[in-house]
Amino acid sequence: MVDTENGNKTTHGPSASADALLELASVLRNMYVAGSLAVENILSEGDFRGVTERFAPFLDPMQRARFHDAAEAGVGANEDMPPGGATGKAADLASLVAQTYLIAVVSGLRYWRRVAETYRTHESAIARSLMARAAVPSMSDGERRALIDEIRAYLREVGDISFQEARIVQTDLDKLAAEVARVVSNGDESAHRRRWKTKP
Amino acid sequence: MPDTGATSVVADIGFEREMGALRKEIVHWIDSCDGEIREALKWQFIAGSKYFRPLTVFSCYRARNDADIPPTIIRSALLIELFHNVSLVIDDIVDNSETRRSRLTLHNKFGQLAALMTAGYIVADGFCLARDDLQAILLFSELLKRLAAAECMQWRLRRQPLGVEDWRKIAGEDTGSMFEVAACLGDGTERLRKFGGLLGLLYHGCDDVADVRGTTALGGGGYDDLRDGILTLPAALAIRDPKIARVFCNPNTDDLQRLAHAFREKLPQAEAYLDSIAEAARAEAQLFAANPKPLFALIDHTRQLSGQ
Repeated sequence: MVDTENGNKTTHGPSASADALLELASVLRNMYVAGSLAVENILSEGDFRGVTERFAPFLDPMQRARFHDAAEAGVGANEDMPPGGATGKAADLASLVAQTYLIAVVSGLRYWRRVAETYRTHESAIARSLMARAAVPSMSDGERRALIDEIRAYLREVGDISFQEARIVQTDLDKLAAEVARVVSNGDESAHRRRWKTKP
Repeated sequence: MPDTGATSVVADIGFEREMGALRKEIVHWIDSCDGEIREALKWQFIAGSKYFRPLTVFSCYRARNDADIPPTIIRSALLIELFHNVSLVIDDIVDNSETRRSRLTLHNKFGQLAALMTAGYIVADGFCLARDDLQAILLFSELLKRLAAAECMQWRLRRQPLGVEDWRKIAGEDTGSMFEVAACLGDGTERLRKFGGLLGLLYHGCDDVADVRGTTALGGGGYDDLRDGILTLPAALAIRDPKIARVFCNPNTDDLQRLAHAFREKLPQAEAYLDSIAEAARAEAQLFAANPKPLFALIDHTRQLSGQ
């Protein structure tokens, strides 16, 4: 490996790359443990009720103020609504917005945990191959192909995780958006229907 | 492109009524075609298909909609069956196959010119039938382009010491693309596209493995792949051994038996790999389908195709 940073040209041996790889593995494992613990703590709460209060410090103050103003002004209220109905609705919306934060946080942690798990699955084969190479620099064609295949599988799986995680978040946000629409329309589906006719 | 099926799959998954409607649509469509082509179409369509791709369309629709299969989805199933058969006709010509589904291939029965023209006719009429469905037009356009590129890639990469990841790429673009499109047609939102791709990959891999078993028992199935140096799943696993890789890249007639033996030895490993693909497909179904049951049934039936 050649390090040309700051104009210095340093050559490291093959064992240095194997060490760096193992170090990376150790960092990823630590992240996995930390991430898993955090996810477990959040998910052990069971459901999302009360997340507004729990995540209040994370909510953007401007956004909270906006919900407060909307409730004060009676936005979303209608004649059939009991007193305080608009405030309740704004609180519902605030709760939904808080859930977007929760979805993002959980997704991020889950992503890193899965990447670390994937690495752990492939780590031994990749590290073994690299170490074998360090010990015997000339690698046979078969060994080289097996190593390349293993690394490609690892990279593909990491890409798959990113793609799948993005789709999970998208699905969760779609559900949330439908819930927001329901809260705003007071559960009245007809609010979204066209009330006019096209020209004859 | 593999075309293996399980006889009881329609009954087990529970789309008999829809399959009946599809068969009627096919017959009706053939009757509406030019008389010059009709006999060839009857030969190609009225025999032996297990309708795995239409089943995928129906299952993906049911997985996201708690409702009866509407006529638009029956039409989508007809279209996927048409385009699938185009790929079979071309495949049989390219592979010089004598039989398919235990009867003569189209080009062997009617001649190469008639087979090529029939394939072109089906493509043209397929797009004509899809004229009111922009999503279907785009999907079938994507499918034909991917299949064309995949066939070229598979031929270009024959007799080369590649790996399992290369096999995934080829199989994903070949059979995988067909099932991706089937899933998209059924679900209508693209959420099950990845599921479809994995199901196609599983189908392709199971077919590869069944072919190696067929080579063992019947002297059939995988012989063409073996002769042509096609990268199947057992081949990709076996040629990790440099000695086998050398023979695979440059075989003589006597080496084919040795290669067949090496591929057979990798069957347990190939089966384990197929299990991992089935598991990934199951996870996709669980995550993105409101009702994953029909998709699980599809996976289970597909998995059985390897003859394990």
